[in-house]
Amino acid sequence: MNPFKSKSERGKIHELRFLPERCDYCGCCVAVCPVDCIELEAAKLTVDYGACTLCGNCPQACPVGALVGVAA
Amino acid sequence: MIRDAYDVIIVGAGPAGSMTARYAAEGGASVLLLEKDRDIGLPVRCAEAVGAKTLASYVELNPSWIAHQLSGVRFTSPNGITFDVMTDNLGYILNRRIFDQELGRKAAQAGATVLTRAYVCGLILRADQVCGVKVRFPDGEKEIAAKIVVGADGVESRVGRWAGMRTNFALKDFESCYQVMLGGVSLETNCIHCYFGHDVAPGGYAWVFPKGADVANVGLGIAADRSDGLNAKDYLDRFLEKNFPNASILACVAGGVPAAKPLKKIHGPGVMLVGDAAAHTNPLTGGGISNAIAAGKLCGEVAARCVKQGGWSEADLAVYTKEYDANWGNHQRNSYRLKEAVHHIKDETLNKAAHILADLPPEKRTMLDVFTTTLSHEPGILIDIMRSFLS
Repeated sequence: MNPFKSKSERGKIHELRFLPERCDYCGCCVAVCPVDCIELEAAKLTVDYGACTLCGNCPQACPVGALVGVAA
Repeated sequence: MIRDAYDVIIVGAGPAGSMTARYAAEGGASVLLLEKDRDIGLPVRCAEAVGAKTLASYVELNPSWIAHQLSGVRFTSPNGITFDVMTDNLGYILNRRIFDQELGRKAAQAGATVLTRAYVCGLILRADQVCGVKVRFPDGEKEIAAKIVVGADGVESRVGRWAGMRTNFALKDFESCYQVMLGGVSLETNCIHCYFGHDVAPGGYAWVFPKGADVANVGLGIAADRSDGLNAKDYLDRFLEKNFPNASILACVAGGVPAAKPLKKIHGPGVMLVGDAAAHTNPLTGGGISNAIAAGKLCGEVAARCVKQGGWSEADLAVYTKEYDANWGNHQRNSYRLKEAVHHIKDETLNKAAHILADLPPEKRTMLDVFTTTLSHEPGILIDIMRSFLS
């Protein structure tokens, strides 16, 4: 196994987009974010794009396609 | 109404949080239970199935929150072979909205102060010791001190992260789920119905849980690392198109379930985690209600005991992780290994197994018979399972 795998996973996507009209505020994205850059208040989701590492986890975990990773 | 300090503050009023609050209050602690949403029990992010045995040993059964009684499990293999395994008094489909409110009410009866629309946005830390929470109310922010803070804040638990007790879930240990409540469906069974297959729900399964004569919770979970361009909702749309093309959707909800190994520590200095926040869900089935109420009771009892004895350092609270592990650790670890194995069984193997099991007479279909019959005909499954236990 490649010991650098977890590091190389950084920057898997070029850009992260949030589509609020699709969001169900379920918290999947928060649960898989490695840098805790997503905040979910009752029905309000905020992404700290400055802290985001573009790892691509949240688009994969989002059940409804509200977080979309634009390919690198 | 709100004081400046409590013995125990619990973040999140789901089943885990309310049980913790109740038992901490019953043990004599002053307790504040905070819920970020405006109603306890809403939105319902749950398929609502629960086993009868554990539930009955922790809460008094109340017909007002039991939507349906279950008497078996129906499995459908990737190629559509179906067989039932019947078990008396298997469990229930709950009405979680009422169930959660009832548990919140029980916490209040025990003396806890319960408050909704209270969003915890940070912890108060003093030299790494958790000493309270920062709460955002509709009319402003407030700091409230606590000897012990309990994170019952769900799968996304930020309390656990702020306290440095957990990080994010790995994608392969996280089930991304979508569910609808269907109306106008005809269900001639009291079974919960599980569908398997790579095209149905990769790294997970689809479920049809009867909630009444013509209502069902229909949903699925996929392992987040297996979503190659399709998300859980896409898979469910496909499933509904195939199996319930004309049904009405009464509700829909997204959600995530941890399918992870037990955390090494569910306590820290002045802080404990419980329920989904502590990955207390069963990694194989995704079921979390009974685990949450059982762990919640323990968490509340430990909190009250530590307050009474005057110590809530990391060492004082270590008894919580220890007792949790002694009671449920092995079961959780075995379920995790079994999940790893099941997720790697190929569709063809499942089809072969289902073909054999469908021929088994109904009276021979106990879970044990199903298991041994499968293994004797398809020893390959055993190898997959063994491999995951050895890794």
